[in-house]
Amino acid sequence: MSAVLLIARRELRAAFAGLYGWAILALVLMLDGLFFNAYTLGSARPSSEVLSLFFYTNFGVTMAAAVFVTMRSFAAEREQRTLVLLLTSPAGDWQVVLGKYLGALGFVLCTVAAAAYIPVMVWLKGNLEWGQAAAGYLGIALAAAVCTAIGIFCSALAPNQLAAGVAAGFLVTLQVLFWLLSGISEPPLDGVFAAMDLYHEHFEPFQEGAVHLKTLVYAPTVSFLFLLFSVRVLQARRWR
Amino acid sequence: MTAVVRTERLSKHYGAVTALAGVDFECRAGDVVGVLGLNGAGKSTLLRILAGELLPSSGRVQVGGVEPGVDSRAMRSRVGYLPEEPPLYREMRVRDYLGFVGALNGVPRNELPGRMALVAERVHVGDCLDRVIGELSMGYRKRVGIAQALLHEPDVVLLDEPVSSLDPAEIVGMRELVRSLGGRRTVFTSSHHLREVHETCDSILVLHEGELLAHGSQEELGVLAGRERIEVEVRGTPAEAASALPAGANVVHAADPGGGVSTLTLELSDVEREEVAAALVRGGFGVRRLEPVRSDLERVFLDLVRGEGGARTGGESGT
Repeated sequence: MSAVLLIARRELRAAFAGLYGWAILALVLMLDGLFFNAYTLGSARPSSEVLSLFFYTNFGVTMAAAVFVTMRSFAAEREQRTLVLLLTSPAGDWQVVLGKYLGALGFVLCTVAAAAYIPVMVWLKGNLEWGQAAAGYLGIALAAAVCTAIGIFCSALAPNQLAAGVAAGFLVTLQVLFWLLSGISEPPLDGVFAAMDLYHEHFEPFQEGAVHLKTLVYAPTVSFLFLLFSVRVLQARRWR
Repeated sequence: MTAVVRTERLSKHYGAVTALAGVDFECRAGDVVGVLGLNGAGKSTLLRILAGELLPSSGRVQVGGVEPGVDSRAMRSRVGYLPEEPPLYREMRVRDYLGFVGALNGVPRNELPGRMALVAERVHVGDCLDRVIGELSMGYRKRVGIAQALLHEPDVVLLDEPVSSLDPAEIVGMRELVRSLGGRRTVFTSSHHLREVHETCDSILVLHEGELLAHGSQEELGVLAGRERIEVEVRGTPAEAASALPAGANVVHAADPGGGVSTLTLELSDVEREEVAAALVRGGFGVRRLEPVRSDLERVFLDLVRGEGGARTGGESGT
C-alpha cells in the first residue's frame, strides 16, 4: 500500500478511535436534524425545495465539520510529538500532506453520508429528483474538498490546534464572504471576488441540481493550491 | 573501513541561535557512538539532522553515502530514529502501530509479521503487542519506540536520550539493549548522563555549545583532555619511585601492597609513557607493569568542556 493510503487510513481510523470523531459526527447529525426540522418539517414545500434547503444547511455544517476535523491534523501531531515519525519516514512531504488530506476528507464525507437519511426521507415521503440529489452531493463533496484543504494548510502552519481552528474558520468563512466583498468592490475586483466565492458562485447552482464546469475546475484548483502551501510549510520547517 | 555517517562543517542555526557550528566527524559501521553534551549542546539537533527531520543550514552530511540534499527519502530509509519523546499514537495497539510504521518504511507486507516478531523479541515487547500504547509504562513505550526504529533494518539507529524518564531497572535493561544493537548497525545514542555513555559506547562525540570538542574512544578523549593516566608497578617504595619520575608525570595515587613493590597511578601532561618507563629504569627501579588507566569520563568531559577550544576532534574512531 502506498504511503498516501497508509497515512489516510490511519487518519480515518484515528478519527473513529477517539471521542472527538464521534462527537463531531453527533454534532453534524444533530445540526442537520435541527435545521431540517426548523426549515422543512411541518411546511408544505415541494420536494425539490426541501432537498435544496437540506443541501443549503448541510453545506454550512460540512464546512464547520471540515474545520473541526482538520484543526487536529498536523497541529495535534506536533503537540503529541508524533509528526516526527512521518517526517523521518521515507514518505515524501507531499505524500504526508496528501495522506492526511484524504484521511480528513474521508471523515468529512462520512459525516455527509451519515446525514443521507434526510434525502432518503424525501425519497420515501416525497418526489426525489435523483439528478438534483446527485448534483447536490457533488457540490457538497467539492466544497468539503476545498474546506478540508484550507484546514490542512492552517493545521500545518499553526502552532496549536486552537490557532489552526481559528485560522481555518476565518479562511473558510472568507470563502463565503467573497460574495459580499464583490458587492462593494469596483471592477475588476468585484468579478475576482465573485469568482472566488464558494457558496453563491459555486455551490448554489449544485443545490438546485445544476452542475457547473467552472466549479469542477475551481474546487480542485483551490484544493491543490492549499495542499501545495501545506507541503511548502512542511519543507520550510525542515529548514527553519 | 567505510564511514557510514560523515559530516563536514555541519552547521545549523535557529534564527540567531547557533545549534551546531562546523561539526566534522566520521563513524564506521557497527559502532555504538555516544553523543555527549550538556543541555543545549546540540545533541538533539545533530540527531534530527542525521534522521532527516531537519536540513543543515550549511555543511554536508552523509548517511550510507547518501546526502539529504540529493535524496533525502533514500537517506531517511537508511535511518531508524527514536526521539526523546517516543513518537507513538497512543490510541493504537502496539501491533497495529508497528505494522503501520513498518509499511510506511517500505517493509513488504509478507515480511512484516516475521520482522515484527523478531524485533518484538529483541526489545522485549512481545508480551504487549496487543495492548493499547497509551496504557503502557514509559519503559515499554521507549522499547516500542526502539522497535519502530529497528523494524525496517536500518543501517543507522539514532536514539535521543533513550534512558530519560526510565526507572533504574528499566535503565539497566535499556543499556543492555543499546549495547546489543551495535555490531551489525551503527548506533548513535545521545545523553548527558556520563555513565550511560561510558557503559554503552565504543566512541564518543563531545558537543558543547554547538561545537564538536572531541571525538574518539574514552581513552583517546583522556589524551585529548590533556591528561593521560597510567598505572605503573615498580620495585621500590612509592616515595623513591616518585622521585625518579620525569617532569609532567604527577602521582595521583600511590599504593604499597608489600613485598617491595609499589603501584603508582600517574597523570601525564607533556610527557610520554616511554619517557616515564625510561626514567624509572634509569633510576634503578624495575618496571614490572605499565598500562594506561581507563579515564574517568566525568573528569575527561569536564576537562574538555572547561578547556573548550583546547581539544578538538581526535580519535576518529571510525576512520
